[in-house]
Amino acid sequence: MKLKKTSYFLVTLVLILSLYIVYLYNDPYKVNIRDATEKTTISAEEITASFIKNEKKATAIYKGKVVKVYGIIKEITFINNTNTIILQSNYTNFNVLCNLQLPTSKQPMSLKVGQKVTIKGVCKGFLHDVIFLNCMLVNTPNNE
Amino acid sequence: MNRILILLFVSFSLLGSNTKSNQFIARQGQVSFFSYTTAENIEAKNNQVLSIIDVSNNEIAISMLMNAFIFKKSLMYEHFNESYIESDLYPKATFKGQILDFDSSQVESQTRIVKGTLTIRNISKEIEIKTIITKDNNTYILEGDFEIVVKDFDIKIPPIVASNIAKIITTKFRFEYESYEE
Repeated sequence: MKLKKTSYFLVTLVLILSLYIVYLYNDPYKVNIRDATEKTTISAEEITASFIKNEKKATAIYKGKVVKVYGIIKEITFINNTNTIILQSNYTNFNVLCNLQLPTSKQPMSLKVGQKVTIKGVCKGFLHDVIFLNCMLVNTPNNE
Repeated sequence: MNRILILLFVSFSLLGSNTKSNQFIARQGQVSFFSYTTAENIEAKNNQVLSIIDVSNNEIAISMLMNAFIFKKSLMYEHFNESYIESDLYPKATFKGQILDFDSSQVESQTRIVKGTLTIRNISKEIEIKTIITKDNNTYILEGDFEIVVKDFDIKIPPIVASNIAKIITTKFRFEYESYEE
């Protein structure tokens, strides 16, 4: 009787573990940016300057972190089914690229070039520009 | 040092005396890869790939952040970055080469070979890639696909998941270039 109980217990345990593994394996890739707490808030000018001055140091600080970045919209693009807001910096050809976390469709955004916005996203690093993914607009006075 | 490297890349490892009027930049190029096996298909896209071409000498440079690939499943993202590519150690992949016989003034689309060096995980391989180039006003679009052999870049796949990951990865790219003038 005791052996039977133990067997049931083991089978149930294996079943639960298997289900958990399947659940973990199929967990969709998503970033809950809305509820994520930002590490810091910084201007587009400052974060770009920090990567240009010392990419290694800036990468160690910002890479993989949720950051709120504010600045003036230089360009809004829709390329390869991706909405991106480009924030200008003090360097002519170096910007902050914010890849918006939106459905794959051209979003009729009411934003305009020259407008000041605050965006929350995950900093991925630096190429020619500072790269942010999973971005969303944040309603703050900076959006005015 | 890093600033020097950036400037070198921008001015295009970018070779010498050419002015920016000859250069075209794609800040939001797309590179995607596909691994097809009977066990599982894996796909990922990177929409923030940088590329610069110089039409005076047909040089091309590409740089991408490996942690900017987007996967369907979070576990795939973790394995890719932490175990296979080790993106903390090797954050970028680069390509530097030349578009052979490229006529930048040709309005009709042209199919050309790009010959150059692909560097992933600090391992460099000479490759040739076929690309279709279309010109629209003063912009260029380059697109195509090629294959990457996993073992060429010393990517270690544990035996337990070996059947889930293809030995040859199909890679697609699409870049829209605009004039790179200040």
